[in-house]
Amino acid sequence: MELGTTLALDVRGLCKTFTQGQWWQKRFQHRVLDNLSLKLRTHTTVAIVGKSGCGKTTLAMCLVGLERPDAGEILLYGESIQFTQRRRPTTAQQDIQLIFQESGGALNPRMSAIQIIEEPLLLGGHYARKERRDLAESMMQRVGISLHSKHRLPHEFSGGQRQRLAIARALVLKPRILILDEIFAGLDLSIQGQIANLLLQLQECEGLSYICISHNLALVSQIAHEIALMEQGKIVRQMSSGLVADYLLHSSGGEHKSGLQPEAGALGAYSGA
Amino acid sequence: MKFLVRRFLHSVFLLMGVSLLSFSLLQLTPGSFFDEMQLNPQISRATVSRLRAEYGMDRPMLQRYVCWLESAARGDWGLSFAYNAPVAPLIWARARNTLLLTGLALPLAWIIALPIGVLSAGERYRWIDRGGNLVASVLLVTPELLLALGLLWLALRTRWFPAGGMASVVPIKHGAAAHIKDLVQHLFAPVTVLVLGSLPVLLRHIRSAMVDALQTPYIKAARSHGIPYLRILFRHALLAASSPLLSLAGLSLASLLSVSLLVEVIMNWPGLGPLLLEAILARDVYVVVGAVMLSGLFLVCATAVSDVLLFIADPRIRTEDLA
Repeated sequence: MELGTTLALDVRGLCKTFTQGQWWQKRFQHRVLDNLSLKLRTHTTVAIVGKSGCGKTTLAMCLVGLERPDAGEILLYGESIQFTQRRRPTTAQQDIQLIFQESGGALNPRMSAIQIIEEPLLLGGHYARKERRDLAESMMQRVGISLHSKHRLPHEFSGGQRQRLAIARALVLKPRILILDEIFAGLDLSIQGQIANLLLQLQECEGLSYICISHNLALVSQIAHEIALMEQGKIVRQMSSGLVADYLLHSSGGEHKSGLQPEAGALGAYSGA
Repeated sequence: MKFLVRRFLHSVFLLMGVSLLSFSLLQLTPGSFFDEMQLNPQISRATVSRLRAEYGMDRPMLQRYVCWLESAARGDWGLSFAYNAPVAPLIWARARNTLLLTGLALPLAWIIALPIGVLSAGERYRWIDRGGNLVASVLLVTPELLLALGLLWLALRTRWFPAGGMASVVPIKHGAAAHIKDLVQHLFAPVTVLVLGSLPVLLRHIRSAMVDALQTPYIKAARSHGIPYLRILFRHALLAASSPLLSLAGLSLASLLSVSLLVEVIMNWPGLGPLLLEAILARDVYVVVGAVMLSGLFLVCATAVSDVLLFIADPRIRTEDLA
């Protein structure tokens, strides 16, 4: 597929510091995002790879507005997302959607599948009840869940189906950017493949851009066009996924030893495959 | 359905246990209703022992318990020595007033506590949370006795509302509206004490249950999908927090009942409280057992209702039971 040329998302100099400790304790600052910059072109998948604790999830939280960055700018199709209010503007909320790791926990156990999918449509209040139901039903079919199970509760679905539900919920608002936070974790290989295919297919039809967060380089390089290596709150390198193997081989033992050592094994598997 | 039947049997056993326990505890207390008569020189020793036999107090405890069970089955619940009348109608007349008091105070306390607790969990460490915390802490350390006395003092000083009692002594205008107005005026002080007394515990529990619920991943997910804030708080988080809160609702009735007995005595409300106090002081055994049984019954009913609500509120319990 042809990659887009315009920037869907342009993150410039994002910083986020968490302060730990109460006021009577000795405080220390934990700099999670340190002047992070990232570019995402339209119709493209960028994989963010880094070892745990390097700030991948915090980045995702900042992008969807669950955390407020201390400094920096996020441009969505050239327009800056303002963080001045407590809530993000509705358009940004619609355009960037996040799919969580462990989607089983991310679905309200008291709501049926169809309720879960149609809930985001309440945002802005543009849709009538009937419309919401119809949109949600068509979205369920899109992601491959049969309508028979629309009144089932999340715990009655399998892990892969729950992931599909989460995808449907994210897609129902017609976002342009989807952030996938470790969505393959805990799924077996064939299900991982199915979900990956579904995502590729959706990208093709809807023209979505993905930010795929993972620590499994081997899996992620199958679906990503670009790989961004993240280390201590920074994107240290963003490159085409074809080049990543070479890069890592040459730099292992070098400057990025501390950050990417765990990926060396995964990389071996990848380059062998 | 099986669940309900099991619940019901459980409750019956519980009430039997309560009655047996209160019976034996009263047996252990020194003295009896007739001891004071013996001090009176005008009553002969023979009269006292005849009275004792008439009321069955000379028989062993188990036999009396069985007798009491029979009379409970008849609907009399034993005989009061002091009033020389069956206990049931005696207690029922008073229980209605107690029920009116607690039945009003309980929903009122929840109606006040719920939004404050939910919002202070949502706005954790902001001013509404800190304010709520402060009020809850102050109320928690204030004994209900002090609250009640303070309100009585206020009533005497300002004459905004009557100090104690359930109806005005001075005859008021005829008509239902005037009566209800009078009743509401008298209800104000005791209900306020009860509400303020139960508020801090409710607030703390609602807040902590909500804080737990707000940290679940699916609340986070809902926030990231842009679902409106108040809808998240009340539709998602409150439902998730409902399990512990529904259990608390049953329990809060129990604490409210026991506090209400105290408040009734202080505020001179003609409920179970004064009756129970008199009966205990006079060793009027069956009245005490009857009142204890009635409170037990309230409590058992309340927990049963909260269990059923719990069952309805959580689809996971429901499906497990059906399967």
